[in-house]
Amino acid sequence: MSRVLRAYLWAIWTRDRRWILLGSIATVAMIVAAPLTTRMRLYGQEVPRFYLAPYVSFMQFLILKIFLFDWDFKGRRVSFHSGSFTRPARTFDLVAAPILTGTAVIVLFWVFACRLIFQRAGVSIPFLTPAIATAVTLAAMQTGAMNVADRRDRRATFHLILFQISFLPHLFLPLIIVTNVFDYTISYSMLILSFLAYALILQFANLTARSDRRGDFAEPIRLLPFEERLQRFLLGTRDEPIGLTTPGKAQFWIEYTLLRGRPVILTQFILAISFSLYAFNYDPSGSMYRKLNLFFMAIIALQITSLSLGAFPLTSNSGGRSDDFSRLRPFSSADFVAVKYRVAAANGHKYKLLYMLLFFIIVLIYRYYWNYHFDYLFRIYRESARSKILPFSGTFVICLAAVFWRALTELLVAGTLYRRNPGMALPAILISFGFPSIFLFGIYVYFDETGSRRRLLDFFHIFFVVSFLVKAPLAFLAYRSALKLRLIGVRTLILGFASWSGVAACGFMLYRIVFEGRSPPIQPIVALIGIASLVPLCRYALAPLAMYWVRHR
Amino acid sequence: MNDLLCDSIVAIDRVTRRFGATAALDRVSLGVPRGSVFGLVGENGAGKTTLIKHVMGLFKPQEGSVRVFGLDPVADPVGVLARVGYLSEDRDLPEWMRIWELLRYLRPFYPTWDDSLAEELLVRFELDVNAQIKTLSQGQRARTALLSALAYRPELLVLDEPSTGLDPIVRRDILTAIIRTIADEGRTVLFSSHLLEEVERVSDRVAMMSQGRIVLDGPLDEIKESHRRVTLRFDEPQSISPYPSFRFEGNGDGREWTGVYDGSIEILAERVGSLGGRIVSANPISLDEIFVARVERSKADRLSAKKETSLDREL
Repeated sequence: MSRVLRAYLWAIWTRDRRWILLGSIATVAMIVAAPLTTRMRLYGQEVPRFYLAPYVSFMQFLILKIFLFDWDFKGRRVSFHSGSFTRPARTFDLVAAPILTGTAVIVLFWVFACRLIFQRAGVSIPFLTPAIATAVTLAAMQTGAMNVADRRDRRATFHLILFQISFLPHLFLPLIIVTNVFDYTISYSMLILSFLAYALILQFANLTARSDRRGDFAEPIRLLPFEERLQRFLLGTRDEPIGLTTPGKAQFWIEYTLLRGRPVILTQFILAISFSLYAFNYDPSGSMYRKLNLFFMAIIALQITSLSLGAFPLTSNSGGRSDDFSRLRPFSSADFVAVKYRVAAANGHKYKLLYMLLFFIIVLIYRYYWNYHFDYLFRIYRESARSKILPFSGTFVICLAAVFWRALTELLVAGTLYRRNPGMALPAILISFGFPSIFLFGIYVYFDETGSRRRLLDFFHIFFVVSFLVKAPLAFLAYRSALKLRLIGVRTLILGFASWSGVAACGFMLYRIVFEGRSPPIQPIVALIGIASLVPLCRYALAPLAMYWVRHR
Repeated sequence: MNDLLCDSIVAIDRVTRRFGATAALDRVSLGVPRGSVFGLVGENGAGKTTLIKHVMGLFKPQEGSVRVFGLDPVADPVGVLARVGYLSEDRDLPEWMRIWELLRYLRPFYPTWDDSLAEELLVRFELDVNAQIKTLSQGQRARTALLSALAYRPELLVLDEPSTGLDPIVRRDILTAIIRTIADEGRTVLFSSHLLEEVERVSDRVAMMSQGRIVLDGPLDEIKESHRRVTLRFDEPQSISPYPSFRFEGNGDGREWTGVYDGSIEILAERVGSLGGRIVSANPISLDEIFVARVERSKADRLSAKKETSLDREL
């Protein structure tokens, strides 16, 4: 162990020794209580379910706090502060080693908890899901803390409280998971809730961003009236509002993350891969579908966490000051790209929030009304899918429609960002469009059981409706603006759509050839190829490079 | 790279840094000689901190090169930073730590860490080791940060606005004493400040920055020696400045002109004589005045260059 890592661990111990002690006591209590309470029941439920969830939440929070809030839990510094980089130590020692240590602790904790607590309590818990929740929480906390609580005044405290409230759903994830392990409906709700929380956090962070963080080269910006009012409410009138530009009517955050990768991303990546690998060995006697479910849950987790990682500097030295962007020199038009990302950071969230809010509302409506009154609208489609006449292509079509919004906006991103560097446009488009395809492919496989597919259909038609009700008009507006401003050409549009459709179709064709109808056991080599082919596409692969940028901007 | 840069402990060669359309550093070249106290002065936003961040390897030059002890601080941060003591402008310290914990934490990073020196500085700075950093006053924080930068006897001490947060007594007595002591031991100090009086008090060599450029660089004595406030008087009123490149300003009737001049007095006398005038006075001036004059001159030069360029384009 290097002297630097030793110093870091010593610092952690010094700061959090009381918390660590408390966590240890709680763990010992759980180990003792688990076998004793296995057969007890309360309100018809097994007793361990009542206390294990709070315990898991607490431990998860504790580990996150220890390894993420490096210096000051009040949020001024998160993870890596600028002082670290003026110390004579390798970047690996300063950045990667603490992350890897934290990751190892998380993994060890879950192995430990599964073996010594959950199993002894008679609760079967999917190993993977809590890790996903951890990763999501990790990302959300990082994002919010860096941007919201970077001020030392009462207002900052207020922001922090609001922020904490906004990520509460993440803390409830383990509880939901533990009490509803195999209930997919709840899992949907959980995912939706996560998305919503993510959107709220980012939107909140965006609105509370101060004008002095915009940088010298920020483009003219404006807010929507309701945003202005909200910002005035949050910040008072001291600050010039940060807002939106026309080309930013797109979700730039994907690309933003692609280039603004942060060390935390590495954690996500390692977690996801670790748990994916574990998933294959989790249930040796179980069906291959079960294994695939676990595997693709990891992919979905990656997707979710990448959203959470979003568009804000997570381990920025200067907390999002203008000069942060200067560290980004991936391409020759770095400044241009940086400005666009900055704009993107503001804009993506706004529409994400709108989208998610509507999504959530529609889900609620659906849960209570739609199911009974409007079901006939989708009966034809659902019947056709269930009748196995068109099980594959029907779902494929609906999936295509469901991600239509994404295709639109991401194409805009690619076209806009790389207009000064046409050589990068095609790979960018491919990457942008490959992701939704993989995402959908993962979801499709995840639900590849007759019963589950029925739920998938229940789920996807909501997605479908929302896409067209909300996202398509937004995408239309974005395109109109972009075409007007000549940020994007018709040719790029066609190219993007063709690329995306091609990649999506290939994914589903592959699925059909390999899996559909035959259900053969998947070979380890296929899984490895799957992972290997994901990595180059993933922004996570850029993490080491990003770390380098962080240190030497 | 010129000879000065070759012999320097810090050698900055034509470094450019842009933040968007703004050039924070514009082909800056600078050499900090070993054993010197080098003062970097400039108005807010002149590029001092950006330059220092390049020296610390926190910024990677977009153009040009930076060498510290002959090493690239970006390529070899461990080799460079182990020998550099750095006091950042924002006194970046972990809030939750106590002072003794901070020292305990930092010690493993530096093989040359000197416990006895740390203790000596604690007494000198009147710091309580059990005090938590978040409870410290601004001055105490500054002293704590300074202590952590000094306790391993760095060969190069880089101070970014060291006076911020320090009261006049600490500034004058402690900071000055430390800087001088380090210099007397043959070590080097590079510090930035907008307090010219402070720079004048401790520096051997000074570089003045304005809008990302070095407008003046040289030994302090030579700079002060060469700059004079000169008053010229003419028999006949002059409608334009007798020496435009030095920005002389005339009184009401154009017979008397005053400005800061750093050229040869003989040449000036000859030129003024040819216009029917004479030098009335040539008095030494403070660094403050020199700075103002040089910055104004630099801005005027840049403005006229810009005008010329736009005129060329139009033509």
